[in-house]
Amino acid sequence: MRRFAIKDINGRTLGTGVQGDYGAYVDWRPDASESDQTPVMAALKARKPIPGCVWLEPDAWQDGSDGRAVQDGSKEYLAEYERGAKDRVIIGKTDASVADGRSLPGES
Amino acid sequence: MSLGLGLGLGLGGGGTPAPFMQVTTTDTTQVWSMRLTAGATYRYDWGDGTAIDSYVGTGADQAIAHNYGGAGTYTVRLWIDDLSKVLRFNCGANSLTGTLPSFAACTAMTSFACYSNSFSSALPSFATCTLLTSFYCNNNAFSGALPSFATCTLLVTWVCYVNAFSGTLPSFATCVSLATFGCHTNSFSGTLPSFAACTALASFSCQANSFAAYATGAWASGCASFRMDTNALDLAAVDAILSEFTTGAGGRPAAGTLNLSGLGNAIPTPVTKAACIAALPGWTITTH
Repeated sequence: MRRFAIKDINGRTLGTGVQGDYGAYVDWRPDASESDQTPVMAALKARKPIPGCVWLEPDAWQDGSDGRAVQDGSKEYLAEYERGAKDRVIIGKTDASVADGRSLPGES
Repeated sequence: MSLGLGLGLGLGGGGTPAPFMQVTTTDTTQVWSMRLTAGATYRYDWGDGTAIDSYVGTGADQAIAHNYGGAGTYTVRLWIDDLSKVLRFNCGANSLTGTLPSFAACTAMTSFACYSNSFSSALPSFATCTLLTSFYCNNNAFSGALPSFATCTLLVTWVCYVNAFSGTLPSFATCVSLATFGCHTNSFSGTLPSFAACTALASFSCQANSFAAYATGAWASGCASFRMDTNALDLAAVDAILSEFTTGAGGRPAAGTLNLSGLGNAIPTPVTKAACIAALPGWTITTH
């Protein structure tokens, strides 16, 4: 069983979770938006191992009004995840925002 | 294996209550999202012999994922101990097959989503879910008449596209906050009701149905994406729609899309179409 935290780029925790072979559970904070949740849900759906800390950039996710953008975005996220996943990952729109070891506010 | 906040709510003995929802799936990864008021309890039986997954609502969203050990058809059962405590419900994209239960007791629910599954038969009434702001039942196999959502006056997003609904579309005139409305790719027919009261409407997709007419003054002026292509609109209806957009051009966005194309719709009177194009130069206007 692995535990993980999901934070915004300022280090504010948006949710915490656990993941094991049989599934996962994420306890979202009340102010976590659907846009915050979408990439994490996509990772769970794809059975991707969630790293210990996931950082979400502001507006990293565009929640399409009809759902199509979400699906497209999920692919984008997964591609970035593959490139960036180590022990943590930053989710953003551009390659530059993928985890690259840069210092982040609130990072311990 | 319980990954949530275990409650030890067993289901043994002859007192096993009937589940709120029972569906089958072939998707070996289930991801559900639930929001219940703090303290409200619910639980899943994933149908693969693993222990019952029990959870306690927090007042915020909870994501629940279950991984099956191999391919197969599984029966998922969900118990919710007090339906009035359901605030948000999302079982989308899980390859679920079956019928939706009644959500009539979910009177505090603000968001409902069951998109991209294989739910069939009639959509139950959500008339008592008067706090709904978003509703997604798109990409399923629902059929029959669509129930009225007139009491759901807080709706902002409502979509039912890519199903097999038929009959007339009920009025959404009381849903004055609607911003996104999508009912395309169904078998709706008859007269499209007026959406003029939905002044926040920004996106309207009603294409690929069998609408033959529309209510005069049907559309709010702020809507910048309007699709009613591939329907069965006669000449009078097509000309009337173009005329409405022409006369109301001053109040409409500078750019937008008006699509009345498709073989089922009549070819408009050329002068009527030309007037509409002249009145809305920033718009893409397409007709048969």
